[in-house]
Amino acid sequence: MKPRHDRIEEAKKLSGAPGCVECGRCVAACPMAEMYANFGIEMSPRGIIKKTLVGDDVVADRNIWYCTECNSGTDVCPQGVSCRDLIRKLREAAIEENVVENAKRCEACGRFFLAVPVEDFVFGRLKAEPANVLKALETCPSCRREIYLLRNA
Amino acid sequence: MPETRPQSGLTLEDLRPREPEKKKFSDRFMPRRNNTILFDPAKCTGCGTCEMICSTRNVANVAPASASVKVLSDEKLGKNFAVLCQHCRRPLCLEACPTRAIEKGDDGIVRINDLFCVDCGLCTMACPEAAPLKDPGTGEIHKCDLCEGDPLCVKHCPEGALTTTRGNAFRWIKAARWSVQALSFLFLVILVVGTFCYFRAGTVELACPTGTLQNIASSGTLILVGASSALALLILTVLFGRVFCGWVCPFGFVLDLVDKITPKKLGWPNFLKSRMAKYGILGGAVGSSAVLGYQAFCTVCPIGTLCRSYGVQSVMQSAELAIVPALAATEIAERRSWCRYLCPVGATLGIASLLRLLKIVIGARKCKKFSCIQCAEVCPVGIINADELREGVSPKIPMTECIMCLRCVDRCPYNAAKVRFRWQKSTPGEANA
Amino acid sequence: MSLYQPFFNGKVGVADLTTLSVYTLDLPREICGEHIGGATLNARLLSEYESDTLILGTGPLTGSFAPASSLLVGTFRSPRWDHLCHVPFMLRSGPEMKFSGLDFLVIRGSAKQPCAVSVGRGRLQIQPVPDTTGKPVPEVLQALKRAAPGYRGSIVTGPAADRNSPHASASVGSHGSFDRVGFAARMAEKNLKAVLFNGIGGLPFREDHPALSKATEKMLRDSGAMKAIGFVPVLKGLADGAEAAGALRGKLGRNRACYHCPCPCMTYTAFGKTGPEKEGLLMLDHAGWTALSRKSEDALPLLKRCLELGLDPLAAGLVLREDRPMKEALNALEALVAGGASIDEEDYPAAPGIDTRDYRLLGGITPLSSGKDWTERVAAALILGVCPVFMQIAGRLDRSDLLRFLSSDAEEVKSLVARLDEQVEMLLEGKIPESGLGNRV
Repeated sequence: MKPRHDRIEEAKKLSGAPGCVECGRCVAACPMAEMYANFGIEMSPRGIIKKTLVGDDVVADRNIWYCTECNSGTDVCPQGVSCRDLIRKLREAAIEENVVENAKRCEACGRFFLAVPVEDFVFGRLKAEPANVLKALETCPSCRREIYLLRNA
Repeated sequence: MPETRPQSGLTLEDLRPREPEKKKFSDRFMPRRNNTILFDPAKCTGCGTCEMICSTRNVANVAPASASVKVLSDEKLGKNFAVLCQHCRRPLCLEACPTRAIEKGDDGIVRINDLFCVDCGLCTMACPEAAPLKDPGTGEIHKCDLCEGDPLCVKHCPEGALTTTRGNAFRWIKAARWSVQALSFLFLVILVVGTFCYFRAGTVELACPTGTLQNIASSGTLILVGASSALALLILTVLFGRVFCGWVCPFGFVLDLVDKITPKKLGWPNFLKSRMAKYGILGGAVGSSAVLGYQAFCTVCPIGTLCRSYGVQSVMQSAELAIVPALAATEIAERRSWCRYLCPVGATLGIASLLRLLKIVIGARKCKKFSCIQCAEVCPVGIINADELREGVSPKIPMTECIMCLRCVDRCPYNAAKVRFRWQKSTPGEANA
Repeated sequence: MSLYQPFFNGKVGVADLTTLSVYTLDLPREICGEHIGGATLNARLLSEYESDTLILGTGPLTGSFAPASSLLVGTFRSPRWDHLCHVPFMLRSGPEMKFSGLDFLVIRGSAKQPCAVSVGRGRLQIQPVPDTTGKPVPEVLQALKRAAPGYRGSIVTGPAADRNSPHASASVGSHGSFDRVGFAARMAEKNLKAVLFNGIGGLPFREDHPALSKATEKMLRDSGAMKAIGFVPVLKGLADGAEAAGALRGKLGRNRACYHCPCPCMTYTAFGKTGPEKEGLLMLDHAGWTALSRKSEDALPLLKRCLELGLDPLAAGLVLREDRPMKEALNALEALVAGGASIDEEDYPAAPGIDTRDYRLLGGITPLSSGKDWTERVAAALILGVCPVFMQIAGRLDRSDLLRFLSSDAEEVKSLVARLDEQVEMLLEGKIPESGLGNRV
């Protein structure tokens, strides 16, 4: 298994994180501001990039699990840094090292497909729905389509 | 992509489907209808033409992976299926979208506003069918917008598995049911002298089966003539289910009328929510008849009192006059709560309907499940499990409780609620009841 | 006139299994000018490489709005017969390859370990797939799913190829294919377990293509070609197909079509009630089923076993003796996999009344009618990138109807018809064209 340091370096390289100029556009565009009441520099894309660059142990950091992996930060970055790719890679590293308390497993296929805080947000928004519906949403999209096919075709 | 996302100032409330303005009378029988895509899995061959043509609209290329529709084939069981947005009446994706980019229009189309969408994919996570599709190339979210009312996939599907529908133009079952109910009320309550609990015209004899049961209990003798005339209603029930409750019963008609003026329901207390209670009441009525020596329940039966007290030539008995409005008031709690929980006449017919020939099937091939749920909304006795439909499962209908009013069949815009013979096959993926 | 765009990406992928190196080339314009595409262009590319090279190629119409544009054609020099062999692969394999950014895939050399070549978004990869040798096809697919998640199309080989059976057949997914001429054996020689496609890109299309596609479909419908669709009507078109169709009575389910095909010729079957749900198979190989169903009352388990083993059902049908108990028949299949029973070369692969060489040349595709016309139609389909079975079902569909997708100009279509005729003739000769580019490819 690759050491954690190597994985972080790889993620940095792939996402172009060293090019960050800390302009904060990604933070302005980030939908997490809307999603979490405790949104702050800690979990913002800029914060994660910075922590990665200064050599913090980001793989074990809970803050990498708030991101929805959307395109907005990547789209607005003047330096072409992809915070999405960085966080995706960091999460992959965490999963490979079995730091998975914040990763959500698909109930059907067992693969990790979502982060727990993101799921909490979705379920919070859907709290009016009955329990069985929320239970059915605990599967990854491809399994969910598969299940829906078997029920309806 | 704009530099920064415009601040919308929209609230979720602005995006949710709006309640239509005040209903006109014609809306009740000729509903305003939106176009929707209907998919028939039995006709689908999995050729993927819908994906091709859809992608030309999304990315200006033939790129099936970038389409808003996904064709799945289950190779073992030989089923083909197209996953596409159902344009829910109450979209969950709308609720989950963190940037408020999803909106349900007045035309019924659920749209993603590209200005606000950041392709986070939470709509996919909230959709019971995972219909918003992530483009594996660009990471963008593609979702059907019905081509603004004239879908390309429908035009190009070679097998006709995709069609558009607006649902029924006229709710003729509804019209027929109200007419039959009104006519039977007129005939049984107003015109017939006395009650129709025991009715005789020439050689035709009819009797209320519950009354007959009490009669047998109280007198201790089985009167064959009375029993055989009670059979008529039971045979009707075996043939067609509890159509008496849904189409004939004059008290049911009164309840339906009261329901029209009390659209807001207070809710039936939970501890009384037992559909078995009416069987208990039936047992109690028969038992107490045996003890008391007369038909105990018949004195307070709302159907009987309605006939006895409200007819043109009936004797107005002040005590009896009060029973009908008192029991009709239960309608404020839940629709047909009398019939659901208490009515022993319905209980007798329910027992007879164990031998039924017909059944109601919800969720036949073209059912849109979670996106629609109109059948559960219109069911007066609340036996269609909306939660199961929300999950995407076809609910099983307890036929002893069904009053065969056919509201679900009438309301379903997709012909997915059907009357079938008992031995005919049920729907795919039916819940285990 | 160049057929370069929008009908091709203009890319050739080369995977060298000996050195485990991959590279992508631009499709040389000279070749594109000479050939329309598909099987003949494959043959042209083959001439530039070693004699054991495998070429997988698409036609100009593959993946487009032309009807049944599902073809991927594999070309190689037959080790057994002294000519080229073209093997058609249907379902979604052709479009998937084209959408993945490559039009042609050249596989040279042979690997030491079992491996898979995967194509995705113009990127080629060679992946080791250990522990798949000798495994039945469904298990191989499972292993591939783990090794290369997310692929959308595949051509795999089974135990029959691993054990050098001459009757091995490469399989599209788990459904089998029309390969009867040793494509799978060639793959096994190279230690190539699978070719995987991940078609997540796209292709440009001409504005009028959707309407043209609809018009062609309507023409077919009016001509009556689409009245009887599914596995059985096609089966009945074969010699003693009626009997084979009878064996399927009451066992058929829904129809299945290949990519953008208006005339589905495949049908799912349901058989056995072993599990909680009925299991089934996709019936695809009409001739194979005819051969198998003659040998047993209930040939579906035999067909299933053939598909699992990656064995050609037609060969199995020839080897099995009649009316043997199921267990014995299944054992006979195992023996065939081990190369124990040999088939008379005259019989396999062949179809009665059809020139054996033609039949082999075209990969053992089901001939639905005999004579010169049959070979020409199939050859044209293999060049254009359209399903050859569809080409035979759609009787009224002319070559010029398809060429209209390549050009909207009537004069140009005429000249294309002439060129296509030339190419068809060339294909039917089966010769390998002279190399003309030296080391440029």
